[in-house]
Amino acid sequence: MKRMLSHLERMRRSGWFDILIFLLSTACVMALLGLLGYLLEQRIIASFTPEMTEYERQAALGTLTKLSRPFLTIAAILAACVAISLIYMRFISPLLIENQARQRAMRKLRTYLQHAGAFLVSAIILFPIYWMLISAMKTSDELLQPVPTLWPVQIQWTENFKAVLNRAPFGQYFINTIISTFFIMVSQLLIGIFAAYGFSKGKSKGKDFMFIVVLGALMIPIQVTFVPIYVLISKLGWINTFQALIVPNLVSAYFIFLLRQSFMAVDDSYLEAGKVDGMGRIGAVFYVLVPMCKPTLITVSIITFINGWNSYFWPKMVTTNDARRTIAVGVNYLRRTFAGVEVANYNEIMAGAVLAVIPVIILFLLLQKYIMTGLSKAAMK
Amino acid sequence: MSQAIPVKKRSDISPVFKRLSSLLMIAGVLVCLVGIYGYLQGDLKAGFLSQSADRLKAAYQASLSTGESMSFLDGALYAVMKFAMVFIIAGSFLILNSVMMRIQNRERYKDFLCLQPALVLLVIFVYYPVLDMLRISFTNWNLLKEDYHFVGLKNYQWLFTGTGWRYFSNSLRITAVYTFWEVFVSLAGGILLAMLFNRMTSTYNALRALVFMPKYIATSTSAIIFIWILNGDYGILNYILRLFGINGPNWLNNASTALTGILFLTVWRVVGYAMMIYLSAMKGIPQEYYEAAAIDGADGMHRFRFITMPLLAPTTLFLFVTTFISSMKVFQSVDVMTGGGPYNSTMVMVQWIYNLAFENFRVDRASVVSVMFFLILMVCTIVTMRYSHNNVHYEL
Repeated sequence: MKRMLSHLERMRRSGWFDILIFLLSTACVMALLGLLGYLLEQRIIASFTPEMTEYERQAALGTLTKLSRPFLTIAAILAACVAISLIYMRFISPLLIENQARQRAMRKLRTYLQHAGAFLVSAIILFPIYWMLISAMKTSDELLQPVPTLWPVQIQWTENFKAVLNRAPFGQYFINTIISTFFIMVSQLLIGIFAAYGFSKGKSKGKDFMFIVVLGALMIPIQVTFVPIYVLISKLGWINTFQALIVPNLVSAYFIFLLRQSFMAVDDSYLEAGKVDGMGRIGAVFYVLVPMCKPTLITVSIITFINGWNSYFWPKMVTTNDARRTIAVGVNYLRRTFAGVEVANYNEIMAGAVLAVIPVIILFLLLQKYIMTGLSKAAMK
Repeated sequence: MSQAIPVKKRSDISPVFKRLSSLLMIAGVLVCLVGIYGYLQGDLKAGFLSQSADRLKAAYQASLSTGESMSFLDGALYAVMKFAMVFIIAGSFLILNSVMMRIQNRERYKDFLCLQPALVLLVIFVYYPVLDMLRISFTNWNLLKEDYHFVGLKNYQWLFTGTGWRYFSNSLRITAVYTFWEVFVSLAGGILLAMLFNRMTSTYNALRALVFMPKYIATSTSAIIFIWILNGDYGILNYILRLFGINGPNWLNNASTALTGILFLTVWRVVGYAMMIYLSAMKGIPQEYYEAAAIDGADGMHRFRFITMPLLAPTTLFLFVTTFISSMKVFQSVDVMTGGGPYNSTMVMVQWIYNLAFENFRVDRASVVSVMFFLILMVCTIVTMRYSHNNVHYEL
């Protein structure tokens, strides 16, 4: 008993103990909720009559009953984790403390485990992309085999791609996407740079109030306001035009916000030196501020480009036919045109997805250095 | 240095500038008046103008059917009626410019000109839609009909006491469940992966990039990949489950599993991002802390528990706020994978608004729901921002 208590005392001191206890209590609460939900579910199911439709049955089950399975699962996982950690702390760590050699061996084991885990996670994350590529190269028969093959038996390098190119105007999709994305990027850059200059270095009266307008715009997402914008665009008769794709995205409040921050970091004396040398406002922006904030600008324009390429919500609304559809929307309509024979043609749909995804993957892999630096800035602000 | 540049006083504004300012003021007031006229005529249908509004609409319809263009005056009046709000906004900006010219010298006015384009676009495409949404929510507008009129609070009544409430509470619940899971998984998974990948070698750099990549693949396209993976009969996931003796459901066609299916995609997309944010925050922790702890005899686990974890609190909060707000707005994955799907079991908020507007063509109801959703988002944003500003600050 006394030994047990001394072990408990030692474990308590390690600092992880309180976290484990917290997790354990969470698991208990979740298990209780889950059990409650399970019991409720049994009672509700008992009261079902045969003529009830699926929808009515779903509606009769409350939130708690629907959540009972996930709750129980989480509780079990948490409890298992806690148990493993407690056993580790009770039996293995005392052995380690005594002996240097054992500690070294443990550290080595931990490193190997880390390598294995990292490779496993990367493989899992990469798997959907691999599966897309492989499915795009299989024949329809092979796709429907009961045991999926990890590598196509009969590899189809081009057939599916040719078929999908015949079925949908992918060239037009690409042109639409590139043109609209290009204009969005350029205008966001230009308008953003000038606005950020005005907000950070300009001396106009009332600019602080106007900046609140920008901050407020950050909080109003297009997912809320899309109906009136759509109405405005359709009143203008712009449905299925480039204007409809581009004009509502001409300015990005987030971009202005980020650029203002990095412009603020540039010392005023640079601008004044430029002024003494007879540099105008535009000169100051393009020869002083822009070169000094190049990393931010590059990162933000890459992200703007990728977002423009991937955007789905707005292009889907303002395009009703293939003439101005962008690639992200086009690929989805591909699936709809197959509707009746959906399964049989998944190799062609995957071929379309490959065409849509590959440019972004290449761009990402080439430019990931810039994307990552921008990301760490976003996190540190 | 700054004394070398002469500062103009208010009286220094040149007469040309003054004249220009007056001109702009007059033009602005005129454009505003035109806009208000158009608004009264087109939207409010003020009694003394309704006849001309009807005549213009008839003329427009006639021009559409015959292919002849309307007379210039009629065309202009019709445009004014249609875009009344745009005229009012343009007029207000002209007036604003005129005022700005008067109250400051030319250099400062030029600074104002720099930020004006952004301001105009934000007002037209962000702020005006919010007001317009409110206005539409009081009408009975159907996208299929040209005509509409104001019906007061009827749509709000539909939402809170009528049939709308059942759908609304359903959508709210599903959005909340989805948000909970996305936030939970991205925070827990993010920190676990960050611990796993916290090793600064080139191999790990490459692996990190791979884990992070899904974030930049279009959601709509990756949703298609996941539809194929989650396919009930031929999907690879169910095959793998079968190997373990589990009979996987038809994920996306089943009311009880559809949301889980969507969450697979979400997890795949967000964990890498959360991991990168956590890792870059870990890199920002000064090495001296760890060295000091090592001198005190703390081992690896101790250091993680007592240095890394407390110092990651602000990052966790940042991730919580951003993920929370962005996951409330989820649409793309749901729209592609289920479209609100089996028995409304994945009808998240934005998807419902979208369906109301573009499948039922009930713009008015969509606007009411948008207004409510907007209020909820606003409250969430403000509360989380407040909280994050007040409660966590570590000197780093």
